[in-house]
Amino acid sequence: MRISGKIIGLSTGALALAVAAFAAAQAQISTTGTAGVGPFNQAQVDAGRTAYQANCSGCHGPALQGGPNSTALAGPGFMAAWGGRNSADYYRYVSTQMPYGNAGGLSSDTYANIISFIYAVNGSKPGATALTADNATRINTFTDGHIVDATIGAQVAQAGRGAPAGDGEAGGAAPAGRGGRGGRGAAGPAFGQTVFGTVPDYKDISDAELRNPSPNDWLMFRHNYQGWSYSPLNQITPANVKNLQLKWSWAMNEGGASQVTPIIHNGVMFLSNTSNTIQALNAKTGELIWENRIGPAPTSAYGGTRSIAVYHDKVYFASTNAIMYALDARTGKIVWQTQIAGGTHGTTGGVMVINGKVLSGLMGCDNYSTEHCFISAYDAETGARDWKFYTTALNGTPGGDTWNGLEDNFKGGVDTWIAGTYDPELNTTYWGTAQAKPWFRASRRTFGGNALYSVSTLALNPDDGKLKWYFQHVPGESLDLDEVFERVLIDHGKSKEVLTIGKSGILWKLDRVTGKFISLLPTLFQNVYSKIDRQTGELQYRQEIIDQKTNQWFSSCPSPEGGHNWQATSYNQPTDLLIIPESQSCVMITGRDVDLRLGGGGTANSQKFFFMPGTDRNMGRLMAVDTKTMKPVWSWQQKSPFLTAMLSTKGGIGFIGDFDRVFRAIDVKTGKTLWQTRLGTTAQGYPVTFAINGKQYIAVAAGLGGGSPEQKPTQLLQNVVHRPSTGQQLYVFALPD
Amino acid sequence: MRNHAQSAALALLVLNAMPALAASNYTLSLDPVAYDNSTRDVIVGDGHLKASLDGSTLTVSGNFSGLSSNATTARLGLGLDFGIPATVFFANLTASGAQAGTISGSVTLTPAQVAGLNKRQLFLQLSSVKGADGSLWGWFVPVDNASGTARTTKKTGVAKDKK
Repeated sequence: MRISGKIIGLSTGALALAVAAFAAAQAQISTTGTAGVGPFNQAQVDAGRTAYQANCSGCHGPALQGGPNSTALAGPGFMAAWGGRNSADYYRYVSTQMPYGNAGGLSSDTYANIISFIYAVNGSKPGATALTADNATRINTFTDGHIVDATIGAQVAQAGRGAPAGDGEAGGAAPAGRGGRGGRGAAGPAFGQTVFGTVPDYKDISDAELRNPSPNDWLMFRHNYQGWSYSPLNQITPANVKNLQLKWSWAMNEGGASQVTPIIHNGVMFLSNTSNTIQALNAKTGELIWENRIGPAPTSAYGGTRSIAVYHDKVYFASTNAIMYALDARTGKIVWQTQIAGGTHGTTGGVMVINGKVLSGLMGCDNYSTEHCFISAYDAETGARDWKFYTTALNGTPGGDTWNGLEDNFKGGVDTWIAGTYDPELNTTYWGTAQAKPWFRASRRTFGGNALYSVSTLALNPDDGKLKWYFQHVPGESLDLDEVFERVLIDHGKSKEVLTIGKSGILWKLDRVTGKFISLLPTLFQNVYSKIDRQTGELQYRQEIIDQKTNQWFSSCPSPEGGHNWQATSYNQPTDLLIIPESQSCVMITGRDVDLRLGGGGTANSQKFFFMPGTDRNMGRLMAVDTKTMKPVWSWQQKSPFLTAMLSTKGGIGFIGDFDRVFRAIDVKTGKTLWQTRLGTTAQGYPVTFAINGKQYIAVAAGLGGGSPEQKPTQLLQNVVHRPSTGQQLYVFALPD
Repeated sequence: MRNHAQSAALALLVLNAMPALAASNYTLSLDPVAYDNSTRDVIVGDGHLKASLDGSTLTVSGNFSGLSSNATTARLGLGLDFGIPATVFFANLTASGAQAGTISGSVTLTPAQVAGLNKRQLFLQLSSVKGADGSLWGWFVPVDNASGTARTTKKTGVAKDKK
């Protein structure tokens, strides 16, 4: 086990400080407006409360506390951002930029009502006049950022809790609750099983098949337990790839965030859509076999469900409201369901099955809560929970004293939003963890504390969830440059290695038996670390980041977009290359003050954007690294970042799609584009390949929604890339018959 | 943070960081820095400049376009590093024109500023009426005198089958 850096123990002084801060924060919550009378009226506040829940709370939270990629709309952060500006500026901003995914889509009255509600929550009292778009009153003359609890009220808190999903089974069972986290969702089809059918000739999937998957299938997130995103299929080659043609396509649910991995078994595709909808399709023809709209509907364009799993006779699916489902693979009927976590938690990273256990990570740990993030495992037959591993080191447990004395309830973050990988020989599963929250050390008050097990590689025993070792890549990470992404398992001779790359763009190689650092490779420009020790793997922030204070602006290259993000790498075994999708953008970023209170916290940041210097505004970068020598082999860049994972094959082809709708095939040896086509909207998700009756197919989704990888190019390429705001769809390509 | 070693040779900030060699020619791209949703219609435009260093004299020329309001000042500053803006400036250049125009001028650099120039720490900020704190920013990048291209990209290679 590796413990590096300065570990701060719980001290009486620190505890007293935390208690005092908590008390002070509590004192800032009022039940009536504490500031002046604002340029809006009570009717607008009431209407705005409802409109806020319907249109805003999915991202900004039911209590305006902010979310993973959205700012808080109440309290000191709001005042710091907007207090000194006038209401007309704020109206203009909100009415042209919000809601995310539907900017400018609400009526002028609705925008005025929502803004009135926000002002009221920030301490202002309603007056006699109605808010208008052109009101030029400076915001801090009638708000003070003291959150008005009564204005938020029970209605808001209630609306923030989604109705639990119904079982959605056939036979007229009550439809699943619509709304989910953050309030009622958009109107749509009824939930429950909506199409009934039976998969013909379904063959149960054994543990042996998961360990050695058929090249014809794509049984799990990254094709194999090792996380390669590589297929032994070789029908499509550099010589014939130019002949690829569309075989069929399938319109998917709109709304929410779609970052799907189609799962293929024996000619059947199991496809997860937004609104927690699972479908089975004939993978050759695109014919729908069964469909179960489990729900709930999304309330924000965030949190795509990345992968489902198949094992024996079941399909496993972890929903965006943190419920694990097992569906009958033949019919789509729900066999069992188990609540993973409550509150505002969700699961997006995909699930994996190891030796009869279904494993899932957990996200939604942004805000201070009594429930912390964990990885957990469930009996594949019954749904009973087998074990739980807390990714936040709690007080009294190893590493619990690395949070600068914070109470457990104020240890936020450390989500796991990408499924792990697995080494059957070592019987070890590898997971990456996200950053602590709030993002900034000064905001979360951990300062020099490492905040275990944030930004780490975890090696767990899948039988009992016990930690075998951990490696913390960036102790005390502070800029949302986390290392939560795929862990790729590669052998070089007797050397058993795990490779991973995070938002910093540093490619790491560890010994996956011991967790010992082997080597690293910085792959793109960064300006946050003043020292990168390539012998030890130790990083050092530049001094101003170490000395940080809240509300101080820092340049961060890369931005929270990464570097590297969820768009996974592909390990091409024949060439020993890891092909890495990367993004190039920067931000000026600041961490805000947060209240130490349950429900508080969040990411607590503000960002301004700029292109990465030296890139000539090229946001997308694709590079290949020799994994034995850790040396770059080829790279190129383009305007649009890549919004799909990389897929490579034994045929020597790589497939990848981008923000500007281009889906292309490349030569894995050179990176040269060999074929490309244009999809309906952004190519987004995890491309897969499979074969039926000897014919190789390529499947890729077009999708929308998501965090920084969507938001940064949306901002920076606003005048360059124009794409439809709908068009979530699956496309399947193959060579001519 | 961790305690760290030691070797200056390992103190690399970037993969493609250039060694601090004296270089006589530079290029600079002006980009909007930094904006958010509320200012993205104000902080817009682009520009391209060239510069040459003769002894300690830096001569800059180039153009800009696409500003949302008239240009006001063009200033040189020395930041902590590439991509890190600073708020302290040491020289003004001449910005002529309105929402499009030219930037030119010569300044005498101190040895520290020359060193910063070659470490890509020197930047130019172009302000405008609506972007008083800077509309466009850019960092000087040494030009490879042999090829005439900015030293920001890596050579590509070809992989071979290994297994």
